[in-house]
Amino acid sequence: MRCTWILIATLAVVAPRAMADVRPRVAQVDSAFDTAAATVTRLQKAQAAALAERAAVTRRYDAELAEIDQLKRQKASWRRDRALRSKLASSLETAKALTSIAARIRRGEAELTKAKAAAAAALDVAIARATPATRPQLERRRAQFAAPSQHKKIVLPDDALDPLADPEELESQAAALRDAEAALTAEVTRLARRAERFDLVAEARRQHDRAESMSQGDDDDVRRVAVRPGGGGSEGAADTGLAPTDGAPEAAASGRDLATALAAVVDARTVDALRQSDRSTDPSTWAAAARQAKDAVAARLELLRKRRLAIEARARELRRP
Amino acid sequence: MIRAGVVAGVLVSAMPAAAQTWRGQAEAGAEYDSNVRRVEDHVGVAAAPMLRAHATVAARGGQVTRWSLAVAGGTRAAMTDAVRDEDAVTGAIDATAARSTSEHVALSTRATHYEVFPVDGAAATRAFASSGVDLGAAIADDRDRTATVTVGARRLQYKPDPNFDWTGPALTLALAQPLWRGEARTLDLSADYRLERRSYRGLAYRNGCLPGVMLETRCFVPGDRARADLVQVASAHLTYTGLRAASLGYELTVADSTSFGSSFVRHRVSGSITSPLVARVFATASLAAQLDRFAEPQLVARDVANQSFTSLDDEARSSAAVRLGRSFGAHWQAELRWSYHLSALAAAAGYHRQVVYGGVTWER
Repeated sequence: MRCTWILIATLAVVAPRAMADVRPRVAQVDSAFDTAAATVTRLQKAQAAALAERAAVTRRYDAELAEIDQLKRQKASWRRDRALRSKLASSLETAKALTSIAARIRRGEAELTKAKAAAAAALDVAIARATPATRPQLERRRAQFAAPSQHKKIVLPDDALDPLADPEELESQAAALRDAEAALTAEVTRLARRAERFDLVAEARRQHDRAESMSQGDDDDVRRVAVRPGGGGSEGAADTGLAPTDGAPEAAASGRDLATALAAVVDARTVDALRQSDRSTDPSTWAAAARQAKDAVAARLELLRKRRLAIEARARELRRP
Repeated sequence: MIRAGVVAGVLVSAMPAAAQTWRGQAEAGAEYDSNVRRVEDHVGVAAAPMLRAHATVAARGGQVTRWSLAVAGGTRAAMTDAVRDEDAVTGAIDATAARSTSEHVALSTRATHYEVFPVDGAAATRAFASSGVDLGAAIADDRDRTATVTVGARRLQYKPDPNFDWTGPALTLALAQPLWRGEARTLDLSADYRLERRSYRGLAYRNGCLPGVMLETRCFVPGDRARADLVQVASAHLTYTGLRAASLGYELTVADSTSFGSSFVRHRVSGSITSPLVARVFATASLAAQLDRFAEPQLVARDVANQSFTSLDDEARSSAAVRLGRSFGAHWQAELRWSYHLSALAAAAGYHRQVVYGGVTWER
């Protein structure tokens, strides 16, 4: 009886300590994530405020520039020069403020990326320890802290020719189209490089697989002279495997990002091909998807160029006396 | 063999027309083999130049139930009359039908057959036929991890000696998991397990000698029950793909036989790396090491005429290979390969073989 009481007392002392050893680990994950998530929220708010401030200052700067432009067009006078000097000084101050805000936004962006990475790392730990029931929820939260995509979505300007538009509007439209063409040209170059790199990876993989298959077919089992009465078998034949199955398609790089970036530029089939290439481990699939996207972007670029030329021709025609 | 050739010819000609996609591959080359019969050094090795050719046609089709069919054929022939018994023709057929029951689950059925037809009669020691049928289920999750389970039956016919023919059920489990994905780089892990129960046509041997007596050929006495083996193979492979490709693998085979002298445990480690060199030439270096541990000592003939033997408890085998390959255009590739194989744990069982191969492949 005394022994039982001693055992209960020992358990009462030891068990809470043992529990305490476990609890902080879970709490550590939660607190690490909570701290990082709170930092992310704080930095996001600061960034939003900085962006709003930049928008307001930019508006003010544009207004000042417009006033300066107006003053410059006036006839020269002592009064105009005084006003111009004042406005120039003021716009210089605004420009300095804008530069300072831009630097603050850049710093904030870097801090935000770092904080998101910390939150993502804390979530990765939590996901690894999560039960199957809670994992999907954590994975959804993980997506919020994913690193920002390298590829920004390309938005194309309106390329339709408005017959009622005046020359200024048409020229402005053509300028926007020229910018879009530059963006698409850069994208075509990027995609060509991407396809080339994937081709090299695919070739390395193909050569490796071929070497592996030749090694498997070496058939280098030693053929022994029979030592058993009546037996003469080579064990080698018994190990013959069946023909290998074709590997199912699996996963890869940032095709999903590209699909998002090019969603407004290329057709749905190309977007699907890019997304599906993300699920393949076959580098030739990545290369084929990149090449398909490159061809689609190049075709869109060509179309855009033709429409821009038509718009420019129309603008010239309207300007002709 | 002629009948099999006619069937294969009909299938190959009809496949491209019936399929949604098809691919073909053909290869031919010449090689120098320093030990064509793959025998131990003391037996008297024979070196010979050989010619090899192989072709495969594979087709796929179907919408709801996807099917694939691959037909392959090949030949090898020595360019010298001294080793005619190595000349052979090979044929293979592989048919699969698969159907997805949901986004993550697919069921499949598969039948395969591979056969070596010796040119020099059925006594050629490498003549066999291997067949199998399987039912399988594959499960994939959102994180691209896949698990495949198959159950089926296997049959092996060893043409020179029907005692080594076997049939039996088989179970395989394959797991694949991507470990890491980067821009144009991946690291994947795959693990496989195979279980086969082989029921042989021949009788199992038993040890006819008293315990502690030195093993001799007379100790191998046929028993009164057919031989049965339980073979388990577990393996794991790590594969890196990037501008260089590399793989590392380990395989463990445990063969538990009712026949005296046929049980063993085999460890095999292999690794290879492929890297681009100059002028779009890729080089692959491969190494493999294998250690066999026998449950009962193995008798290896040193001199059959004088009935002298060596008893082996362990055996180590290694091989090294270097391959150079270069693609030409979209379909052609030239390749050159050197491989060296040796087994040298016991001097009496010394085995050396070198093979140099040069050939071309065509693929579409």
